[in-house]
Amino acid sequence: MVVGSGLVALGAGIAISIAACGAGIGIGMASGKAFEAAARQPEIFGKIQTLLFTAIIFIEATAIYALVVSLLLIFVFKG
Amino acid sequence: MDTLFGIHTLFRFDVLGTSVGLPVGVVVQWGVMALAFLAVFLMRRNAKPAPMALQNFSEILASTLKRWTSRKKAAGRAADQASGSAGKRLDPSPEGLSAAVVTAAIFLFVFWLTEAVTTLTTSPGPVSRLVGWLAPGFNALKEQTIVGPILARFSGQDIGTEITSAIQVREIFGFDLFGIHIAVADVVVVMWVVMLFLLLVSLWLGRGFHPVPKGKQLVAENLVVSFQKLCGTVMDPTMVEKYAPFVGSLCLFIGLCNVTSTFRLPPPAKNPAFPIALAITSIGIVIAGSIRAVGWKGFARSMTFPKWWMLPFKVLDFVIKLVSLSLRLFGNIFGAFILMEFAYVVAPILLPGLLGLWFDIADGIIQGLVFAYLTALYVGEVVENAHHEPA
Repeated sequence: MVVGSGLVALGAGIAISIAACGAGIGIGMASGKAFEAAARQPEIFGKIQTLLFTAIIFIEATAIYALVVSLLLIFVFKG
Repeated sequence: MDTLFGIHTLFRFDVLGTSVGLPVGVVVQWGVMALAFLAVFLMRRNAKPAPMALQNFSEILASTLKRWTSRKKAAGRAADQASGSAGKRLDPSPEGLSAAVVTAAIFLFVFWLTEAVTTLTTSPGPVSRLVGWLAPGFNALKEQTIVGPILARFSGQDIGTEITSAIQVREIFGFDLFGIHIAVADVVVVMWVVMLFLLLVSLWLGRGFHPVPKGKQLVAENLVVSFQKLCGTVMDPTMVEKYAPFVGSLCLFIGLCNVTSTFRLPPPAKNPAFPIALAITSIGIVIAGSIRAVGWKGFARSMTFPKWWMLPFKVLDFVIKLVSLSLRLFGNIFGAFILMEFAYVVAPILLPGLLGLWFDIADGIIQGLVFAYLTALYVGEVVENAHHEPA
């Protein structure tokens, strides 16, 4: 299949940018809620921190998948 | 000054066909860190008022320092508490610390500014001329950070080809076994080096224990206890003793493997085989652990827990965990590696040292920690489910 390298670059950029938007919004919402909870009950901050850490790892994974896809696009599927 | 892939390095030597060197950027980074630490330590006693924004930061620093120095000064503090008045004298004061931080920042900024301005306009700057051996480094900085060469590099295929050649896995040596060629790549050799290092350090740390901990034994005990705490947050207390060593080894091994990119060695995780193999091992440990905990029958029941048709989804769950674990490590390290290659190509002196603090060191260690933590989480989750679900 013949695809212009410009289209491949565009695809890689769109892939990572949309995923980064989603992951950023997700991490922002999760951290905001966690800080609200910590401000309301400072004594459980340790537990919330662990939960937040886990949640951020899983949210971040989506952005990493997009990163892998766009890297594959750039380096493997050159067009 | 030697160069390694076009990057100025202080020294370079060849090991098994791979060139190893210490890039100037890394030396600059270490120098900045050392200067900042030195300034903080030297001037922490000079109590001067500082901007409010730095007060909290310096209080954190002060409490950390207090904890570090508390062992040495325990005797003195006890005497002070007995007298009840002079306890303040031994603690590093926040005001002094913030003054030190501000001074160090201003000093570094002025240093950088004079050098940058003079190197951009004329020959080596005043400080470089003063310290003659710095001149080659700053000349290279001048050559490679002026806007013109960067634009020239951007316009051509230069960056793309250099990065593409950097991500290739090179074969160090190979042999034929039953007609199959087995190639030993550079990343594998790096992995062996890390394994040897970890083995030697563990042997050294594990020798000569004493009932009253002291010196290196404190380090070893703190490491073990911190990994046990990490496991204790996500799994049953009875299982911690069994799985903490595995989780801790994963964390140390992956973290050290990722940190090797500081020395321009290829990090093993940029080769997808490395994270996939580690993830398969982890998922294997998870499955074996749950079988060991509840037996074959219990495991089969947990796989088909509410109804028999849940089986494909439970199998899929394991596969997705595997893909997620391996892709997370691979994507993070590969992305960081490409970014660092880009930095080394664009501005080999200043940029890699600064970016490397996060992308080489902090991110690598965090990814090792995350991998170990997720493994512990999966072990705890699956074994717990296998215990409770069949009821």
